[in-house]
Amino acid sequence: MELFFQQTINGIMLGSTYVLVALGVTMIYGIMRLPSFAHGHFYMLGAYITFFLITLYNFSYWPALILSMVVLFFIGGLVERIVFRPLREQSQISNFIAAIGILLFIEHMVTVIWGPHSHRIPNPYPEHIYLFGASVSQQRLIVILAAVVLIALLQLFIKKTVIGFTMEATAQDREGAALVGINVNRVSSLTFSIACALAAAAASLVAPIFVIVPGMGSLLVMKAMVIFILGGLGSIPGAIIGGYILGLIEALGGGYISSEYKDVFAFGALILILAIKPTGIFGKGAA
Amino acid sequence: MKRFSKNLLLLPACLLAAVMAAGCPPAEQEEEEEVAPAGEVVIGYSGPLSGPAAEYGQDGLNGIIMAVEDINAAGGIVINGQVYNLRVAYYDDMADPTVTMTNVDRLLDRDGAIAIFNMVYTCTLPMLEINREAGREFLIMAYTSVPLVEYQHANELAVWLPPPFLGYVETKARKAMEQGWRRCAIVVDSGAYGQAWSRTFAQYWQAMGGTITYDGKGSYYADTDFSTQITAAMATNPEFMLIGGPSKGTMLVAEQARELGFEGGFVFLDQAKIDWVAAALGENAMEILDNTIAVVAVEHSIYPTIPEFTQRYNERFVEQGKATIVTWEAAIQYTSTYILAKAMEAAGSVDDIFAIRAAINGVLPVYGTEFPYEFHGITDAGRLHAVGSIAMIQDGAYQPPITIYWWPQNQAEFDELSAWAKETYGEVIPVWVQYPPPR
Repeated sequence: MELFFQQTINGIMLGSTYVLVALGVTMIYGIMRLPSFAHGHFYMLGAYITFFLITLYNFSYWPALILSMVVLFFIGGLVERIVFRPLREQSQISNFIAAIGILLFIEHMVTVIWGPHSHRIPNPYPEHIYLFGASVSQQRLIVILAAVVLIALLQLFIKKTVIGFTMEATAQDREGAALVGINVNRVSSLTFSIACALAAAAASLVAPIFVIVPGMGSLLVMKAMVIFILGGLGSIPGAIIGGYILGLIEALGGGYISSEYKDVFAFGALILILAIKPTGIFGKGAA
Repeated sequence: MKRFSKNLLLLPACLLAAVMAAGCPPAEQEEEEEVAPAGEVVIGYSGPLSGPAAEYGQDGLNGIIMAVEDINAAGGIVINGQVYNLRVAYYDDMADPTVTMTNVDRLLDRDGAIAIFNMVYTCTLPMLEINREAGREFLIMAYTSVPLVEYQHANELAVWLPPPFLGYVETKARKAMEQGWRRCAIVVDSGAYGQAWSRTFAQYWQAMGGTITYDGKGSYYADTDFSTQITAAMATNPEFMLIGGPSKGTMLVAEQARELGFEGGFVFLDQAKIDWVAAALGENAMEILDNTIAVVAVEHSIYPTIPEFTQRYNERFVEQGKATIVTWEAAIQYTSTYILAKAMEAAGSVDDIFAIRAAINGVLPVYGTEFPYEFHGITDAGRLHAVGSIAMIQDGAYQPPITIYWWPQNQAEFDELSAWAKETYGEVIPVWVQYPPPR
């Protein structure tokens, strides 16, 4: 039972980062119909920025995390404005190629500037505590809780503010939203910005327990894509549930069946769900 | 519905394309431009300089670059009165054998390399197939500790640089037995090298009377969270865990095991560097790594040349952001490059590959009194007599290193070597491991 509880916590912690990144991918897709493959690399960039704020400018952990979110918010907006907005009328494949281009550009730029080797943020909360027989480090608990807070804030923002309404309206019908006077370009920019800030938060949260390397977002973005499809394209509740489910599948499948097949379970779940329910868990059938 | 299903079809295709795009060969690295006053000899290198194994590949390349700079600064190599300077030509292969082969073609045809260094076992294998083609011969400087490959892939133009890992397996297993440990859980890298290592270790361990309580894997290159495997391993009550792969993943596994409450010991694969891991762990390092058996940290080596080498390496690479710490890869590649240069002088040729290879036997031994690493000779199959060394961290401090000699054929040869080592380096704890292992 303790083992099960421990693996469940492991899974929820894994799922927390997945959710934050997958939410970004989902929001961008919802508004812009763009599979954002570069999202894992914005995540990586967020971790580097937090790292340099802490090591070079002696920021403490939380201010660095927030500032990193702010920086990524602006970088995200800029990328949307410079790269994706001019491609709006082009076919989807152009957007896709642009996303891959951004991915390669960010990774190689970071490798050239900061080198291929890994960096570490000193862990602000290294102690671990025991919860019902399971050992959890404080930082891992913080990751879990912070993810919940960020998810709740995002939901409040979308459901309770006027800007949130405009985002939802744009996601439902871009032309219709434009007709009623919503500035869809601004909404697109804002969505991209928020998504990148969420990725920066996720990366900064796990950076003290993992390591920062130029390729850190590559596998993660694949998992985020799985969640995004699994949850039903563009569905925010789907991304949240899907992220936690994927984390739990990996932890429980890897722990009880075979660690060798951990990623096989994750990607296998994608194939299975698409076979049973091609629109994903929360997919509505038609976009 | 129509638009939706089109999008849905596009996505898996995008996933696939993204994977393929991530695997595209990047533009080649800049070569070191230098105007040759006299002749020029090109030493080639193909290895991972981007991607998850980039740091490992860069460390090895740094060693070659430093040796070449030192050799050129000391006047290059002189053959029949003609001076030659060395140049390193290097390309990134991301540890992908297909890219390695493209790089080999470039190195031979464009750069005219006479020898090519490679550091990844699976990339070296296809090179062994083509390095003896008439008119396109080249020497392979193979950096792999996988044992017996030099017999399985016998190649008269290949030199195998690091010590075979069997020496480490046996010495580490003996050391673990000495601690009274019997129950071992395995959480190692899922790659070919990690799996070969853990299978061999399991054989030795069980032959010694130990048990394997759990055998799990993790992708040390790609993954960052190993708590699933560690939790499952700990449920079997092991006294120590065999962990390892690249240092980054090894550090995360050790740290996460302690976070999950693991109090036993660790045995590292030889690829994982204890000094790198300790540096990355920061102030709690000695607590986390208590009761760890691993390859000795470079700074605790018995070689008197190490402090000076480390200082120069730090100035040249670490301070330039080209490395985190001096590693054995750098020291071994540095010393190997020197051997290659000496062999060219001894052979009296810069392009007769067979003569250069044959001359290597004559330029050995090279010792740790002069170089940052030592090679006592070379086996008939082409593996350099490279010295292995392990150490254990106990009670918050590094214990004195154990030095492994694997090439003596009998007790008398080993005794002679031990006596020499004690005379040369003072405090040495030598052990003898038979290689190839007696059946």
